[in-house]
Amino acid sequence: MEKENITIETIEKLADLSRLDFSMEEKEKLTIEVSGIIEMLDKCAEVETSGVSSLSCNMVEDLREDVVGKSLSQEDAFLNAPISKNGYYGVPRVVE
Amino acid sequence: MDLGYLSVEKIVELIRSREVSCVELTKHYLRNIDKYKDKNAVLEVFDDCLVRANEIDKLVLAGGELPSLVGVPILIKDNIMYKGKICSSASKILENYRAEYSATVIQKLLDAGVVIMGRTNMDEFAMGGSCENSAFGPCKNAHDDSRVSGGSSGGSAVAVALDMCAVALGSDTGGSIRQPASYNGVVGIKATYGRVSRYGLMSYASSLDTIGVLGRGVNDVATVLQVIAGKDPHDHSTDSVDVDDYLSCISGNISGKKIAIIKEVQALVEKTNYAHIYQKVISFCQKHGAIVTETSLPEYEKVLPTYYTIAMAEASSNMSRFDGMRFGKTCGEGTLDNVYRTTRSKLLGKEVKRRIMLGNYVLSSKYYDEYYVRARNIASMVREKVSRVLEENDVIFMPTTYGEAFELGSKTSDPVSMYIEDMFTVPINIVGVPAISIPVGRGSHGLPIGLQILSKHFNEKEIFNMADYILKGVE
Repeated sequence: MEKENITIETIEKLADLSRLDFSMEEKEKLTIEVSGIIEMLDKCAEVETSGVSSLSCNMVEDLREDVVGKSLSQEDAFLNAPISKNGYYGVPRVVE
Repeated sequence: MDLGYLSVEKIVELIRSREVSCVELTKHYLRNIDKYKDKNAVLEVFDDCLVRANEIDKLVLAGGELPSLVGVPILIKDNIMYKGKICSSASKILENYRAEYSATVIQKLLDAGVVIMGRTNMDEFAMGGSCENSAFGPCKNAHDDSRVSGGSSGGSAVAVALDMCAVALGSDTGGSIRQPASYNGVVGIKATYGRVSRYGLMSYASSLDTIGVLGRGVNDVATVLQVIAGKDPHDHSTDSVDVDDYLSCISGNISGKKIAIIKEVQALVEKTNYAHIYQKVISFCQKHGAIVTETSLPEYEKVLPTYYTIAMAEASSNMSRFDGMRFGKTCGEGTLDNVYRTTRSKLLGKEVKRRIMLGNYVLSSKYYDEYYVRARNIASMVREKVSRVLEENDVIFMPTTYGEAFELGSKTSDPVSMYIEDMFTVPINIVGVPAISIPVGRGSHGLPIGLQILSKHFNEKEIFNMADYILKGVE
């Protein structure tokens, strides 16, 4: 597969997806670091994987009965919220 | 009475026989925590630990049946939740976060009678192999202040090595228990994925994360694993397969045991100055009746990039919960998007941000098949091959690390060189099998070198028997 080089624009796109802001200096450094890491990850491309199923992952499918159990109280759940009121999280206005 | 470097078994015996009080013992460890505070292994001593120790003493005086780990003071890694206590994952974003509930392992240990004295330093969100990524400063090696403690459970390993506790909890996603255990000369067990509940462990890469134990002896870590292992309805990835009685499986005999070594790993070991240390262990085992065979795993060198692809993908998803609104600290004003960005940018560390970025890269629609799907497929292939080797052999031997603990700051500017340090530990997480690291010698700088012993899924007992035999027998 044709791969594009990692550029400042790639870093900006990824930063946007990641909800992260970086200074120009940081972006330049990240361009080099991310390129180096991707180069390492690219070694996987040398392995022939056609016909292999990735279904046998570490997860076991052992679900419990669907019954109501004990859970966190609303009070406990809000303990660490920076802003909460009347059983809701406080967030910036999203609807004008 | 000398309380230095006691085993878990000895502690329980002393507490039960009332020869030593739990308060006295806890104070001994607190003195060591204070004595070695410059190592930066412990982030916080819980202010009520002596109150808890006093309660244990009252329980002992009252007589009656006592739980299995009565009066054992322990430390826990800063990513395992203990209700009401700060649990920060060594991150600024969770600096003030208090656990709303206790992890299953914590509840089990409290029920077994332990005293939790405090929380240990680590790489932020367990992302790192040197403990230099902690937002609260690096943890230094137990034996050399100029070297890393290893990571991410560096604080737990150093605490055990310097007798700040007899045993500590750690977590292991790609070597985070075994590598610091090796660098500090202690024992660290990463159990089979699904053996120990992850409920209450802060997630890094959920399909690879495990909780385990660090201690100074095989019996110590086996005794604690015995308590925390088992099915948990709060974690559907735990397995209901029976938990063996680990101590009774330590037979003091390795005759006839089949040990495999991997050709591709052996080739790397032979390039180092440490080959003779591993050779000594292999010769010892052969002399005592074990059969050693060499096997090939050509995919071996692809496991490191496979691991990092999967781990970063899962990390980026797990880190998306940090939005500055539901828990943790918050920064920034104005729009929702601005609060997200400002909070995450200001309060997450460099390595965490790097992994979020790379995780989003390998998960992006354009590269998803090329990286993520391919990595999962390779993981599947490696799992199958290693499982086959473990069907024919009782254990596999591998080095834990590429050498002794490296110097602080020597790899921080080059992430790839830091990732390469994990080359011997990450395959085990990819396969999901259990593995232990035990100290087997000292390198040219006089620092500890560890051996990894792995076995098939849920066969921790085989590992404990082999590890105990080697630890007691090899000089």
